[in-house]
Order: sequence, then structure tokens, then C-alpha cells
Amino acid sequence: MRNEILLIDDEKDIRFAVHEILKENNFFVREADTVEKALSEIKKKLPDLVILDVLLDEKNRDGIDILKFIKSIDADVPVIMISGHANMKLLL
Amino acid sequence: MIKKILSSNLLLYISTFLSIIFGIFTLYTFSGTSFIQLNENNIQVLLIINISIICVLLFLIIRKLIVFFYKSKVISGLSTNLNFIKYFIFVTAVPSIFVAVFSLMLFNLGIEKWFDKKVNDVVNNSVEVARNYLEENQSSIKGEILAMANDLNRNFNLYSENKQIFQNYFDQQSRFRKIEESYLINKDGLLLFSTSFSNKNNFIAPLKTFIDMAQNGQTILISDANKNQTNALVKLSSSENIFLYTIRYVDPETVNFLKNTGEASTFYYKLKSNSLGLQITFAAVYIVIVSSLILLSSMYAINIANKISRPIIKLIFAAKEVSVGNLEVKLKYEEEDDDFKKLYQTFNIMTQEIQAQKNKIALSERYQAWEMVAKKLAHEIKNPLTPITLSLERIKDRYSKQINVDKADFENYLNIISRQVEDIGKLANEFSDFARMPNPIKKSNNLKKLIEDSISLYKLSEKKVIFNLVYSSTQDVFKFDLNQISRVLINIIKNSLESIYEKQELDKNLQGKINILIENNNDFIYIIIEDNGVGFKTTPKDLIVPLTTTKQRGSGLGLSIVSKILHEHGGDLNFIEKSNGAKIKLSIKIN
Repeated sequence: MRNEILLIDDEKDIRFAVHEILKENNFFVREADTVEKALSEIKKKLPDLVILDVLLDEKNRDGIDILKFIKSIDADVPVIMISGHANMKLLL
Repeated sequence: MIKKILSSNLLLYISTFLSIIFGIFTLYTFSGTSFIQLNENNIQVLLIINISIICVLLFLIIRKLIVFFYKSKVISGLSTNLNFIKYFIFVTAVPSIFVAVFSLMLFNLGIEKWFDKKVNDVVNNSVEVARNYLEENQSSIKGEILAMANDLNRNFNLYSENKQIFQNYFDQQSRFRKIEESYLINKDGLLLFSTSFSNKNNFIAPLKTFIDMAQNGQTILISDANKNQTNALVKLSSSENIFLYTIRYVDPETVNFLKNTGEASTFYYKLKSNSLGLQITFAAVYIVIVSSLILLSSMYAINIANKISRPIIKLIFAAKEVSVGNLEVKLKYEEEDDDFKKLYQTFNIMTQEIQAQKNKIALSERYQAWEMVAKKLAHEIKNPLTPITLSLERIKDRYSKQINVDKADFENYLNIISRQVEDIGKLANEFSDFARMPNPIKKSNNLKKLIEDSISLYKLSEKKVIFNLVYSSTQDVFKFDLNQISRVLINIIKNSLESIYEKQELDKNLQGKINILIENNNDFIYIIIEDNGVGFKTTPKDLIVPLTTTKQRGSGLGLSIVSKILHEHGGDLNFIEKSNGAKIKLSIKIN
């Protein structure tokens, strides 16, 4: 069963809440709070699903860069992007 | 009262008038053509009057100048006026002074002519002629009386022998010698005999002194200019005690001529002896008249300069006001020229335009600032909401099963938190809506239909409120953003409904009413919405400032959004005063 999820969010509280829910539903969860850590986690092992916060509190890079990196390795890995701000421009 | 008279121009006009009248009068008097005589006394009086008037004028003008210069120091911007006056005074005074100096020189030349040799000779000669005439006249009388006395002596026997023949002879002698009255008197002056045509009643005896002198053999001539007659007295040699006394009348014109010649020459010599004084008097009169004219012209120069520069000064002050930011300043057209009228109108339009632009910029800057704030607020509120909501859900799922004591309370508390969080979320969404409101997309839409649709929704759900729509606009299809204007209408109607509900809580029987009137002119469509709710509880203008609300659960963004949308449609949001309820006038620019 493919059940390994990589959870990328800079907000600790969100990571905690989402992690708890996923764990209760028998998923194996890895966490990353920065772009750097996220990239290294992906390089370590490609997860079965990525939950990705678009806006990471960093100056130059954000979730979109991580998305591009994942798609460059394997375009079939599903990515769920979450954002506190409904910004259509960013999605397109 | 005195101050009022001084400050008014009345005194100036009066003294101007008087100085001109007296100046002309003085000149006439000097040239001898006036109705009063040219003599020292009159000229002195005239001079004193003239100088007094000049003093009054001088006082008025100096006072005016001091006030004016003082003012121009205190109020800047009058320097133009000052320059005007300097020019005017220069232009009027300098030529006048030149003319005055040259005229004075000519005057002096004229006076000197009076006393040169030729005129002197003429005066002397005329006096000489008069004297000669007088002497000749007297010697002829003397000759006549002596001849007559001689004839009488020769025939004096007739006097005692035949009175009638003597009378004829006496009359004949008198007539022949052109002597008007002839008398015979004794040494006491008693009348003895007279010609038949003499007026005996008017007879006055000569003085005793004269009779005594005649007694000694002298021929006495008595000239009486006042009576226009020359009397002669001589003793008759034929008798001891009888004198011939004759009166010859002189031609009155001749007498007058003699009298005038005498007086004129006396006056001439008097003037001549005082010719320096005359010259000074003359110069004084002249200077007084000329200086009064110069003062007058300066005075009027000041008035004219004031009149010319007044509109410019007005403009300077208005421009100064504008430069310190007072765009409310308006130039009022009073009595200026047409050019100034146009200039003022242009100026007023300019300031109005600047004011309008300034308002527009200020408003859009304010919107921008509020958008920033709203965006930031939305972001900061939304961020913690996600973990809160997630955690809440987790607590509900995981722990409600394990709670056995006071389970209802536990769930109640969770619901309260959940509801409040939901409200916060809505608020945050409203903020981000306001912040992210797109530019309007204007397309041809039907306003009438939009309003009818909006109302019909409410008509179904709101049974306790009557909607009344009057559509009297001549235009219903024009370009506007359908979604945004719809939002405006819903927002306003919602406000009205909420305000009516609030009032109905106090008065259950209140019949809510919302009147909507649509009108238009060439440029705007107006939507006037009126309700009978609680009305505005604050100054209505404050309500378009974001985050201002009088509602318990309002975000304070509703009317800001309405105002912003209307402004982006070239229109405006106005609050109309109303005692019972609220009245709002919306405007939307047509195209």
C-alpha cells in the first residue's frame, strides 16, 4: 500500500494538526518546514503523495519551486497544494 | 463722526471744488476783470482763503499717502499699487512744475513791463495833460472874470441909476462869457444882485478869508471838484464894498477824467514803490494755485491707481491663498473690466479643478491605503484560523466519545468556538474582498431590470417591509459593471432592512418602508433610497471610512465598498438628512 506522505508547511501548528489526522488514518508522514528540507526529503525518497503549502515564509522560493522539482523527477506523483489565500493567478 | 468725514472723499471733493473756484477768482481779480476791485486788501483776503484751502488739501493728501504707505508696508502685494502711484505722480507733477516755473517767469516779465520807461512816460504825460487842462481852464476863467469886472466898472453908474438896464447888461455879460451864475456881494458875503437866471436859493457866500483876500486886490479862484464847478471872486474897483462872484460849471466828464487820472497815477506810483512786494504777492498767488492743482492731480492719481491695481491685488491675495492650500478661495467679480471678469472666472475654474483633482487623488490614496490594511488583516487573521479549525475538528472527533460528564456543555463550548471562528473567517473574507476588488468591467446593462430583480428577491422574503420603486429615469440601459452595482444595491438595501429590524425590536407594530427613486440628468443616474429605520447613529460621512460601523456584527466595510464602486463608476455616495430613518443618494456617471 502506498501510504507515505510528505507534509510541507512552515506553520508548526498546521503540521501538527494535519499530521495527527493522517496518522490516525494509518498514513506514514514525513514533515518539512523549509524548501531546503523539503527538497532533501524528496531526494531521500520520493513520497507517494505530497501536501504542499504554497506560501512558505521564505524570500526567494516558495511551494511552486518544490512542485516544479517534484514534477521534474516524476510527473505522476500527486501533489495537493494548500494555501490560506485564494489567489487564482498563482494557480494558473 | 469727524473720522468718518475725513476718511470719506466728500471733504476732498469739496476742497477741490473750492480751490479751483477761488484760484480762478483770484486770477480774474488780478487781471482786473473780476467783480471785486484789485486792491491790496482784497488780494490779501483772497490769498489767505487760497492758502487755507491748500492747507486742508495738503492735510488730506498727506494723510491719505501716510495711510496708503503704512498699509503697503503691512500688507505685501501692494507694491504694484505703490509703483502705479509713483508713476502717476511723476507723470502729473513734473510737467506741471515745469509749466508753473516758466509761467512764473513770464509773469515776472509782465510785471517788469509795467514799470518800464514807456509806461512810466505815458502815466506821467497823462498826469501832465490833466494838470495843463486844469490850469488853462482856470486861467480862462480868471480872464473872463477880470474882463467882466472891467466892463461892469465902466458902466457901474447904471447900477444906481437904472436897475432894469443894469440887469439886462449884467445878464448879457454873464451869458456872453458863458458864466452860469453871477452875483454881486458885499464884504460880509451878503447877496446884493444876481443875474435873472441865477438860482438865488442855492446861493452860498464864499468864505470870509477869500473875501478878505479879494479886498486886497487878488483874483480868487476856488475849484470845487465835488461840485464840478469853478468859482471866481474879484473886487469891483468902481465901488468900495462890492465884489463880483461868478460860478462856472465844468463838464462832469472832464472832471471825472481829471479825478481818475489823478487816482490812477497815485495807485501806479504806489505800486511802483512796492513792485517787489507785488511780484512776491503775484508769485504767491500763482504758486498757491499751481500747487493746489498739483496736489489735486496727485490725489486723483492715488485714487485712480487704487482703482486700477485693486483687481490685481485681489488676484495676488487669492493666489497667495491658493499657494498655502486654500482652494476654497473664490474671486468675486465686482466692478472690474471685462478682462478681469474673464480672468476671475478662469481662476475660479482652475481652483475648482485643482480641488476636484486633489479630492480624487486623496480618495484613491485612501482606498489604496485601506486596501493594504485590509489585505494584511485578512492574511494575518486567516493564517491562524486553519490550525484552529483543524484542531477543533480533531478535539470533536477524538474526545467527545471519551467525555462522559457534562458532555452537552463540552459540545456547547466547542460549538461556540467553532461559530466565532467561522465569523472571524467571514470577516477576513470580506477584508480580502475589499482589498482584491477588481476594476469594474463596464458593459451595456439594464439598470431598471437589475433593480427590479434585486427588490423582487427581498419582496418574497421580507413580509414586514414594503418596497416602493419609482423609476422616473429616461435611461435604463448604459455601461456599468453589473456585479459591482448589484453588490452596491444589495448592500444598501441590506443596511436599510437591518436598520428597520432594529427599530422593530422596540416597536413591534412598525411597518417597515423602503422607497427607491431613480432619476437622471444628462450626465448622471441617481438612485435615492429611503427607509424608516433607526437611521444613522453617527455622522454619515464617517461611514464610508473603512472599519466604521454602528452595527453589532458589522465589518465596517459595506459602505466603503459601495463608495469605492460608485467612485470607480464616476459617481458618488451622498447622505441626505432625514429626521426619521435614513436617506442615501447614489450617483452613477452615464458613460
